[in-house]
Amino acid sequence: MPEPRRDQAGAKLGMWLFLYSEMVLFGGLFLLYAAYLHRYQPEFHRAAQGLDALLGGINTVVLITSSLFMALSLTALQTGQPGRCLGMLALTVLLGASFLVNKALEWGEKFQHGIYPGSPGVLALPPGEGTFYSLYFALTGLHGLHVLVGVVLLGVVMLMLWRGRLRQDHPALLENAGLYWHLVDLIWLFLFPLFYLIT
Amino acid sequence: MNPAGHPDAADDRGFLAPPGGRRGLGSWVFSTDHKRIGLLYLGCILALFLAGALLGLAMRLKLMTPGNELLAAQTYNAVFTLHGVIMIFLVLIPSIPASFGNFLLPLHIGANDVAFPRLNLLSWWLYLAGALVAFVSIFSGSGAPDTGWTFYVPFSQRTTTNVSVAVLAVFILGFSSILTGLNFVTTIHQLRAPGLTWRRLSLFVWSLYATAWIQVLATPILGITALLIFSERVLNLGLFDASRGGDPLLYQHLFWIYSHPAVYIMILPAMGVVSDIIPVFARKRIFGYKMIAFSSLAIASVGSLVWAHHMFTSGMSDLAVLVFSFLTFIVAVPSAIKVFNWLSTLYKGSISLEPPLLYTLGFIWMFSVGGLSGLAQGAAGANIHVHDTYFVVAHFHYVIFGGTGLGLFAALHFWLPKMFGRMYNRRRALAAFWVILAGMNLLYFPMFILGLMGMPRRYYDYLPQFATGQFMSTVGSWILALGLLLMFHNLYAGLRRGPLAGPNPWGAATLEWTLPSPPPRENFAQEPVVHKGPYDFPRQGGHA
Amino acid sequence: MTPQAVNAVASVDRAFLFIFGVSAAMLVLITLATIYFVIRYSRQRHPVPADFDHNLLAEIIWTVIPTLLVLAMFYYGWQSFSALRGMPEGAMEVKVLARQWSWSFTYPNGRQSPELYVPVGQPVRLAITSTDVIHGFYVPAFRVKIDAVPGMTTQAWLRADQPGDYDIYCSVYCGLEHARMLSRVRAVSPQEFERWLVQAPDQDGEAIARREGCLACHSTDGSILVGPSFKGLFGHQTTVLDQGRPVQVMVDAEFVRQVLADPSRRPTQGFPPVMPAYPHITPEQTAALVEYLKALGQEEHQH
Ligand code: HEA
Ligand code: HEA
Ligand code: HEC
Ligand code: CUA
Ligand SMILES: [Cu+2]
Repeated sequence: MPEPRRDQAGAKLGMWLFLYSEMVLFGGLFLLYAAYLHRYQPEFHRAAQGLDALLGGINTVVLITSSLFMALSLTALQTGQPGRCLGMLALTVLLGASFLVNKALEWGEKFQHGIYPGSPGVLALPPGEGTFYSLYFALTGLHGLHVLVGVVLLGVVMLMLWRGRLRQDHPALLENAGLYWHLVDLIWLFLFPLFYLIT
Repeated sequence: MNPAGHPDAADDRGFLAPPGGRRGLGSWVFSTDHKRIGLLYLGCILALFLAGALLGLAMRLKLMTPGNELLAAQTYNAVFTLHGVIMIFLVLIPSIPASFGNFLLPLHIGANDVAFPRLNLLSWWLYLAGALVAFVSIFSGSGAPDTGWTFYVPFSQRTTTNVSVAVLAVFILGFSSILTGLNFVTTIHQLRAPGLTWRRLSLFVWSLYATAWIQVLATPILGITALLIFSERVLNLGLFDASRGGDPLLYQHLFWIYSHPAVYIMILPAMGVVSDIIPVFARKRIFGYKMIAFSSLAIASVGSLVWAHHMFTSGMSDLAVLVFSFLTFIVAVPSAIKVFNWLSTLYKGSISLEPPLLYTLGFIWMFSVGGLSGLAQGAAGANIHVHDTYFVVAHFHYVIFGGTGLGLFAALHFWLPKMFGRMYNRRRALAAFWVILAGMNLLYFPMFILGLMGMPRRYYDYLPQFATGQFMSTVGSWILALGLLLMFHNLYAGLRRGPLAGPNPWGAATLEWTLPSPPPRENFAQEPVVHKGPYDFPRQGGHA
Repeated sequence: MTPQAVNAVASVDRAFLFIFGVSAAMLVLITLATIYFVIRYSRQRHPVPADFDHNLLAEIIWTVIPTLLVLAMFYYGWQSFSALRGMPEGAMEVKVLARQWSWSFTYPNGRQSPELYVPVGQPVRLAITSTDVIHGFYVPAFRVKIDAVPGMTTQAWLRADQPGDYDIYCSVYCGLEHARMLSRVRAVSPQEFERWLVQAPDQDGEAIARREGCLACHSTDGSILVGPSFKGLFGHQTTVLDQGRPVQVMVDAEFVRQVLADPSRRPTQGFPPVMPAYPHITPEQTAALVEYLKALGQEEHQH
């Protein structure tokens, strides 16, 4: 086997294409959201009042901060400080995990009020409001899954860094993990106003 | 003839030789060599093609006469669903790009592999996993899915058959397709050999490039659509449920936003094959290189804006019908341009009618019939009459079987000697073509007439006025089956026992023909430097 | 031209004819050119290929001409579509209800019918919807096709110029008996139509069962279609699922009434819960249905 080509530019291009396809994946759901918002504006506004904008806001801050640490970890690697890089990554992972915990609390609270996909509580809502919650669960669920994947991915990156397999001269893995993380963050920045702020 | 008459006696088995003492299945299914992966795909695709075709044969038997009870209603419904799902998601969408694309792309651009070899292997594994999950959906739960390959809600939501597992398979297959697409785009951007400018790319590579972009940009929509059906069924989300304020038409929009571009994923690579084969056998540079390359990109981009021509009767607004009908006609023009360019390449060439060229000409003819019938469907008023009838069934079999299918067969006849180093029997290949062509037309042409008479599709039984056409069509399917048997047998016998083909049996000018057949594992010992275009043949002579 | 005078069928056929004409001409051209080139420029006859690979004029010609041709096709297609969609004023409106796997037509005076009776020469407007999944209302003779979508009403119109029977198909795949979801347009003279319209429909149980499409799913001979057979059903025990738990109940008049009002409340065990609700059925009709079931129930109960 020849040594696999370490083509940093290629790896980055591939990653950008992947992120593109991720955006299209969410794009499908955003299209649905747009179509239903158009049809059920008042209902959406009413239903959105049932969501806790404070919790959502906290999570927004949490994710933005984590993106900041992500960026710092890359600078740390590029300036030859693997230890610092590792620390920054740990903070990113920590914030990602707390996002998930926060989300779980939020969902749990809804579940307790009988609002979960297909529940009698949702079925009893007027049509447009039920649709709002279906979209809410679909979109935040898919996004939560992405955060989870991101956390695991960053865990792997930390492991590689720890073992010294990730170095200053070929940071592609870290860069790509960072790009992914920023994307997940970006998508949340769309979700937050769409669900929490349209009241 | 091969002197020893033994398959292993060929001097150099290139990449086919067991690498470093590792033999057997493991050396294939864990290999990251793009050539081996290409062959793995090819094998799977052909096997699944035969499975899907046998289901088609079964449907034809059932439909041979009205009122016969060969297949129960539920069975028939499951059979056309499986036939469609297998043919579209497991055969056509991967078909040429995953098999020949994988094998040839690095060779055509003078690289040693694709940009991400391990990702490439992962794509194949995902493909296999998707196929297995699809297989599981047939034999588990409460019966094989019976929704048609389009999975329209609310039916797909309500039916008790095993739709959830089937859409999961579609999701996995979509993921595999996306990864292949991004691998190819990156490969084409990053790994071209020195001197291989964009204008010196073969048109096959251009078509792969356009296809790969559609794969990356359209397939995620399929992914989300499949996930939504899954959640509708399992979590009861109710997003498309009219009684809960949902809109079933939105599902159709999402589905076709992917699935119309998908028809170009199916046809563009075959067009690329055709554009590469014609110049070789006409000994003449391709006519209108730039137009062909550009029209691939035009088809890929404008083609993403016409999806709702599948929905003219769905109840969407008349304005939408106007717009989508118009755009549909606009995308037809680049295809017309390609046909005329191909014909002009033949004009004043020096033509030798070898099997690859014959199959290619078959492609052009069948694709023209299918494409022109697409125009009748694109016209708003005419579409109303033929939508969801056998006219549509005829249209898409002409373009996908007559088009992509014959394109794949042309590619087999052109490149198998390169892949395996041996040549098939020329006369039998030519004879099989005519049987296939006759069978296809007898099978599918009557469907146009049935459709115009009003025969709806997805009917397990029909009224007596449709009996003649249905019967002719069934007879056609037998002739076609015979032709396919002849062709596959001849190819198989050729690659096992045929005479050695030599590095360049057709006198072609792209890079893969500079290598021995089969190519060595490492592709190019030294990175090639390219000084000429893909269709610059020696002015005279050459063999064959 | 007033919309009523538009002949949609002729307009659609004109579009087809134009497209076929152009397509046939193109196909002949392509076929002949291919054959001629392959023979005339075969390697024996023409060993040295010419050396050219583009010609701007030719490329412009074969971009512009097909573009013009497809624009003409678009125009004819759109014109015929407008003819199909331009709803005539003052036409009689018939409500069309699609359900698995039968059609029901309701006239302004409340008359219901499983077949579409229309007066010859007069346009009829159809308002179409579905109770369960998507179906498609298709009458090839009138080039009319439009989907029947739950939660939405779609429109179409037709005018029969000749008396006669014309097939109605379901064009959108809707499950098991999609192929059997057939009916007829019966075009009769206006006088005959008027007479038919005011006739009280048969109110015996079998006629109702036929009209309401019960027999698409329930056989009368003991065979299983989609739901349990009507034969031997009445007066016997059946197992239904009450909130998921199996419960034995007797099929009597009260049970039938409950099933018709809301079949999903207590679906029969062992069958897919796909029976539509029939809220519009009157108590008298229910009674007639019960009599009908009773008659079938007395026959030998098969096990
Ligand atoms: C390989 C796949 C493939 C390709 C390439 C095409 C190509 C085209 N298709 Fe087709 N299509 C399908 C696969 C494909 N289709 C499938 C699978 C379905 C059914 C899905 C389902 O419901 O199950 C379908 C259904 C379908 C419909 C919906 C029918 C319905 O359900 O109501 C329509 C409507 O507009 C349509 C139109 C077209 C058009 C205009 C083209 C054009 O791109 C064709 C362009 C080609 C030509 C025009 C011919 C070549 C040119 C010449 C010979 C020169 C002369 C030309 C001119 C004068 C213009 N197709
Ligand atoms: C690649 C795409 C592809 C191909 C090649 C085919 C091939 C065939 N299809 Fe098609 N078909 C579709 C894609 C394809 N189909 C799709 C997408 C649908 C829509 C489904 C839906 O509605 O959801 C469809 C629907 C469809 C219908 C309409 C069903 C309906 O609406 O009720 C029919 C009906 O006749 C049909 C028939 C056939 C036949 C007879 C073949 C024949 O060409 C088959 C010819 C092959 C053989 C006859 C077998 C030959 C091989 C051997 C004999 C080898 C022996 C075996 C071994 C050695 C292992 N198909
Ligand atoms: C789309 C198919 C369909 C149609 C149309 C239909 N049914 Fe049913 N029916 C079913 C199915 C399936 C069941 C069993 C599951 C359930 O109860 O939902 C059933 C159950 C029943 C039962 C209860 C039988 C038992 O053993 O519990 C009765 C009574 C009945 N139907 C009467 C009718 C009548 C009367 C009509 C017409 C007015 C009708 N059905 C129309 C599908 C149908
Ligand atoms: Cu109703 Cu098909
Ligand atoms: Cu399309």
